[in-house]
Amino acid sequence: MALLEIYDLTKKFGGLLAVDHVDFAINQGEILGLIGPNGAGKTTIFNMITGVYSPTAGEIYFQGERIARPPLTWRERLSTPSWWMSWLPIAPLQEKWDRVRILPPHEITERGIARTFQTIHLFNNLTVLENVMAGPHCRTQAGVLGAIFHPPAQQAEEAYIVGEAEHYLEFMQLSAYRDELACNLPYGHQRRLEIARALATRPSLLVLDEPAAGLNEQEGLELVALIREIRDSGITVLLIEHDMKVVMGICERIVVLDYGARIAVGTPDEVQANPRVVTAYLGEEEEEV
Amino acid sequence: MQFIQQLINGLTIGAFYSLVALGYTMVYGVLKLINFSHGDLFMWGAYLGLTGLNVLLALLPQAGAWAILPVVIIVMTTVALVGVLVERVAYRPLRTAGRLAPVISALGVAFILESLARNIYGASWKTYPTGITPTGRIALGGDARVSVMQIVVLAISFLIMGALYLFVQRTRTGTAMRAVSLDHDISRLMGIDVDRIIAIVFVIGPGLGGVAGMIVALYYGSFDFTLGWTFGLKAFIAAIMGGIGNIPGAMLGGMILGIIETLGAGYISPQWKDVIAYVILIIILIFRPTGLLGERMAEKL
Amino acid sequence: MENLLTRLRQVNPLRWQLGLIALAVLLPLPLGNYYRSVLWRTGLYIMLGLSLNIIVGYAGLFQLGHAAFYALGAYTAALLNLYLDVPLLLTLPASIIVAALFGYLITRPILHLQGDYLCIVTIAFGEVVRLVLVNNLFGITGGANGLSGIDRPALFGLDWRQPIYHYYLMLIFLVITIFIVQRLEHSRLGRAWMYVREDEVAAEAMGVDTTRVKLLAFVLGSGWAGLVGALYAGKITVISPDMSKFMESVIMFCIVVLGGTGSIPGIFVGTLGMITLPELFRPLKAWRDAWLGFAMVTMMILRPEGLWPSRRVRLEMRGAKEVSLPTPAMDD
Repeated sequence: MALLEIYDLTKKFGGLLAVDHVDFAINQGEILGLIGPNGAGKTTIFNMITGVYSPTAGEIYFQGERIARPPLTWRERLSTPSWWMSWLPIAPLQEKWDRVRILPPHEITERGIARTFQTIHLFNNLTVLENVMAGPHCRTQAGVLGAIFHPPAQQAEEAYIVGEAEHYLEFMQLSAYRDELACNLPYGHQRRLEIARALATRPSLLVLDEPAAGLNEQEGLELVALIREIRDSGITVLLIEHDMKVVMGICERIVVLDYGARIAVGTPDEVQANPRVVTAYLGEEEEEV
Repeated sequence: MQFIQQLINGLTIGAFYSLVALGYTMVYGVLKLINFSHGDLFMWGAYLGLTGLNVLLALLPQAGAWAILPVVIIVMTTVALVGVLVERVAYRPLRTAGRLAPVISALGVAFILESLARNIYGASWKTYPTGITPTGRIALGGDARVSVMQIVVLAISFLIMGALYLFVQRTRTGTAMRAVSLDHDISRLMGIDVDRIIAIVFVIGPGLGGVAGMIVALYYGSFDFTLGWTFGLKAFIAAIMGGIGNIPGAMLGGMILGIIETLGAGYISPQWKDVIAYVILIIILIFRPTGLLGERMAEKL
Repeated sequence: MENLLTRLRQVNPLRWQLGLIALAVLLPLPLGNYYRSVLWRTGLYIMLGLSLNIIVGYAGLFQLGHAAFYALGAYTAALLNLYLDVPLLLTLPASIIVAALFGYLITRPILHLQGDYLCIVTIAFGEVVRLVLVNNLFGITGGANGLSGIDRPALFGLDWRQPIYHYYLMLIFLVITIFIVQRLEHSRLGRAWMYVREDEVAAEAMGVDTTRVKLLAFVLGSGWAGLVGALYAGKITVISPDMSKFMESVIMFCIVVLGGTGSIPGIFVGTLGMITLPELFRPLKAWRDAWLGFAMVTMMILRPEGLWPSRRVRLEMRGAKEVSLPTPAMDD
């Protein structure tokens, strides 16, 4: 079974069809590239996978569980008994409702999908360490009472959070900047910090939105090596990227989008040889000139 | 025919709300700032109108209703000047300071204006000179009556609102205003003098507010220093109901709020009319935060 | 100044904290009853400021209707005391629960609103509470005159008409409040608030349940304001709907924002400026609002981060790029 399955995914913004009946699947342990010209709908798909948007039609399954579906209309809600009773703290009812409802982003992260952003979204005025400490947040549970009374469980958790954060800083070679403010890091480091933060949520699928954007050649190469290393540690990677060198270099399979629709899927060589892909890209270049 | 009567009264109050709401909505449009001081500028219109009328009627006792005209003009100019001054001193230095700082600054200005009014004029209720406003009533079908004053108020309000709408839609300055409300930087790149446009907004908004203050005081006959806050908050609710930043929305919102309030006072209880207004505001914000005429904002990361 | 502060930080925190508490215990002894009452009032507003600070300072949410919860707490205590003869100190938990419950119910549906809109809804809610109390809902709230004849706390057979005992009662709760607030700030929950305040989108993507975290801020802050309301009712014994006036909410908001958003010493400074000084210069009371307004405008222009801000909020308000501080071992 594939790790992530996308069926017939569609998203409309008003009259604009941003994603047009896209299907694809990500297998356990692979690096899948999602490419396409500007405005092809890549980031929209990302946002649907991570729960920021709900699809207009179609479904996404992660580890066999449905994580995205079109939102219930009011009529559907009213005719769904589990919606009426979802506020009752009764486990079977809650489970039933869980199968119908839309998951918010934080629950999708909890289920094991972590992401980075196209435009960097770091906690700018917090230190590098504090940024990464956001990752283990969803793996821990101390609440108000824990905060006030500091029971042993809470203390162990705090130690765990710091340990995890330090581990991933080490992994992304950022330990030296532990106590710097995130906004004072150079751009390339900020990108790596975002990945470190995502890894600290302990995902099974890491979704990277143009991680190489704005990096120079050297940094790009380092990034490729890092992504490989992440994959080798057992994490599946989905990658949106413009930089063809990066994509062709590390992706085992590539999905190509154009105008919201999937126009090709296959290994880098297959995709490069596909005439539709060539037109999509060359056509775009002509327009840009 | 109590219903029609209530409707007419509601429409009149609604017209006041609309006039004040325009000031809120225009400032929000160009600065994305809740101008808390607007209600107090409006109240100052009422106080200045009172002083102006008293002075004029003392000098020219036979002027009668004609005294209103020059006083309106003076009030409008003075309040507009104060508005521009407030913008220059309290808001412009904070243009780049994020969202919180200007709001607090606006609240601060509101307190200064209110405290000044209370200390200068005293906390007691003030009464406008009587006998200068038209008093006749025209009978409609049944028991419903519309007073001449109501007709005058409605006519003036619609005239002002129509003129403002045309100004914003048809003139170059109006177009520039709409551009500034979308994006300051791009407007500047397009050669629009953003500071000037904002200053114009702070002339028109408080100017209208000042006039509205005087009309309201003339209509009711008496008021006190809490007028600015109570009326201002209602007008702001009207602006939100219509979709803040949207000029026709402010007019519509004001009318609807006025009518709902009067009907609520008539059919439920006058004590609860303010509560009804606030609850409606909360409900609108829960289900349609952009207001009745506001566009749905596209979510974008 | 900065040097002195860093040196103070290196002193064992327990030692200077105990020193401050000792000072607070001794402070009212040489003073007359009037000044003891002023101190008591200052303490109450510090607690209100600290409770609002959870919402405004930590979670970064606008709340301009905080006084409503203060009033709800006071009315809960008064009603229980007057109608059911519950001793005042035993009504405190009920006050917390009622205020927190209202905090939950009112903010649950509006959490998705952004800054300005949230601020307006909280104002409207404060006004609704005041008007409902004025309109004498169910005929038990006493209308515009409020409720009177509330029992003072009864404990150890002391004469609770003396302000000094109220001061010490307040002090106990103040110390508890500061302890709790500090623990909250440096906890998993406190960090979650920080993440939400800094970047809600990123926080959510990191698995922070932003709705829950924001709700918790509102519930904790409102509940604590309810407790303060009950303490107020226990000394003054007369309460009125004016407790939920917009002006009260603004004063609390200014205590937090002008004192220094997110910082505990800032709340002390803010309360001194907003409550204690106007109280001591009574003749100027007519001009208090004008002075308040003037302070708000000038502060926002000259020092938007407040008089004694937390390091972080200063960075946020100033735009962080130019300062790069190594993190001190102990945060503000």
